[in-house]
Amino acid sequence: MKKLVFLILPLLLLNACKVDPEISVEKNTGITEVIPTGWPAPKYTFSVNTLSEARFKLGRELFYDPILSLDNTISCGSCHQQATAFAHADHKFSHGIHDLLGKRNAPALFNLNWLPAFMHDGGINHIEVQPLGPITNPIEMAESMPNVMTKVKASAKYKSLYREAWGTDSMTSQGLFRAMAQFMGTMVSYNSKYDRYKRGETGATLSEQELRGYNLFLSKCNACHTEPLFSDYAYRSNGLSPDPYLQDSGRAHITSQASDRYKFKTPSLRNIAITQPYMHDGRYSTLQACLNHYTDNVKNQINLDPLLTPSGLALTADEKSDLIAFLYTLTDYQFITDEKFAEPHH
Amino acid sequence: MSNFTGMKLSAFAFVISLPFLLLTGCKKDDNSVTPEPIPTPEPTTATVKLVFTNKVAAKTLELDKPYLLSTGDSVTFNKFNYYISNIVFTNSTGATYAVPESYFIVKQSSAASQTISVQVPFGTYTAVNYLLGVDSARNVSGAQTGGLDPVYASDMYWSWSTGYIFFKMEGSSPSSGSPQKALEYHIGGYKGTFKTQRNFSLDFLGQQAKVSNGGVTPQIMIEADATELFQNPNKLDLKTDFSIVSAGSRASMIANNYADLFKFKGIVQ
Repeated sequence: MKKLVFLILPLLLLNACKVDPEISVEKNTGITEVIPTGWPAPKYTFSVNTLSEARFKLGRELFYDPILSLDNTISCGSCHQQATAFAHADHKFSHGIHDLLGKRNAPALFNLNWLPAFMHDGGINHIEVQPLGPITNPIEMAESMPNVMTKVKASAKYKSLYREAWGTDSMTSQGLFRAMAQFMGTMVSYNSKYDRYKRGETGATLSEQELRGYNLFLSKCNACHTEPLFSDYAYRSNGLSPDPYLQDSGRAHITSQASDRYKFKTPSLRNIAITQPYMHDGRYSTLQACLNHYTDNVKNQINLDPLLTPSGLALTADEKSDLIAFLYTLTDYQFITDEKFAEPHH
Repeated sequence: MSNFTGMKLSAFAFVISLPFLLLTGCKKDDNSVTPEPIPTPEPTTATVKLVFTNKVAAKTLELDKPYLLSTGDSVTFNKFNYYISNIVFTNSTGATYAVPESYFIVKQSSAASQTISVQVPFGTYTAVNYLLGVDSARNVSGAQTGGLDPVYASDMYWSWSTGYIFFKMEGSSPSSGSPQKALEYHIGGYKGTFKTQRNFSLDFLGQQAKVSNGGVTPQIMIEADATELFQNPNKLDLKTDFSIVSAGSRASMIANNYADLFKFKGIVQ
């Protein structure tokens, strides 16, 4: 017991003469920046947005709160669901406000601090301003930032969460966006079977079929879906025939360059087994269909990536099965069941 | 057992009393001399105002009213906004003062927005320099505050292709090629050849803005001629150039037109 007293004493003394007793900013206790060994340096590092549990908590509440949408029905979490690595399960296109449908498949969310740009076309250049896209898009959340601020400021819950997070009552959109960046940026997926195998963890082995698939992956896929992030995040046309109804020019929509027509950001293959449907327009619902595209359906069109040809990748049916077996090892069950990223229970 | 309980109790009592002991310990010294009030520092800065007046050639611009432009087109303005940023004053010795965090949106629909008030050190100023637009760095630096807060800038920000809209005109013209005869120019872009910020250096032409302690606030009068948007060097053909709403070569064409939008018209003091 004496020991306990001596343990508590210094803590009490530290706290006793705090300069600002009115507002205490919760210190970082459980939320940390994760940079797995062997990964490149992230693009976003929290250097001007110091992590804390209270800020993460504010961001998590906002992520799951439909208050960000015009009629308070759609949250970020509506279309980015944890069980499917924050993709929208079985939705080719997500339905936004008034059930309006978009033109692109909602991407999975993880390892966002490594992204050079956001959205399929790379139109958004920074994780802190990423939420502005869906919030103000008229077919997604259709809300204006002045309205968002009015609603959030009027909420007793957010007043309290904001004060705990930032130590002030004067709420700014920057405080909300940075809190959301803390929630989204700490969603790091790095504990798949593949990761454990690569780290040489006890009992972490790949089956013979998975290993065959891994070797095929290295020779056929890794040039674009590069380890360890399983993407180089470059913009490419992978030979999908443009949908005549959607008329989606992809990256060119942002750059106004003809050389970017039909190019989309190369997606990561992490968690790919659970993020169907696939491609920017969700046209394929199985991994088998994706591989069939690369072997049989690559269309010779302008800006086709030089790593692909209309003759397609050479893969036998067995090799496709092996590749798919490997892709299943990229599912990170720890990530998709991590309680701290789940919708908060109230 | 009894010994153990006794120790536990005394330890418990100690822990309980600790906060009170500490509270007393942190009390301010009652015997201390009341400190002298901190003297208010002498002011070293005062206000100077930039007053913007939007014109259509010689006429004062009013929204929702048709104007016959020198290009021959009749144009009605429903919206006329621009970003002013990075304001730098030059004083009579040639030294410059950059106003920190100077980001403002001037809107024709808001009379208050047409006067920009900033604090500068006392001095005699002979020129002002500013950007129409927002410097490229702030377009790539994440969530901003103040004059760059997307709440303040909600009408002047592209959320789908990150970046501030530097200049926005919406209106109509019988010459417009759009079915609704609409005109729509949302001009921005901060990269490479598609940069659409334009720098303005306005010399006060021998006049001086005197900023002093308790003196009259100088107002620097600036006019923007909206006609510039449609000509010089690029005369717009409204049949085809009626909607330019993203960064790119067509936005740069408009930016080259507004590169001489502002004229210094005098100092009121």
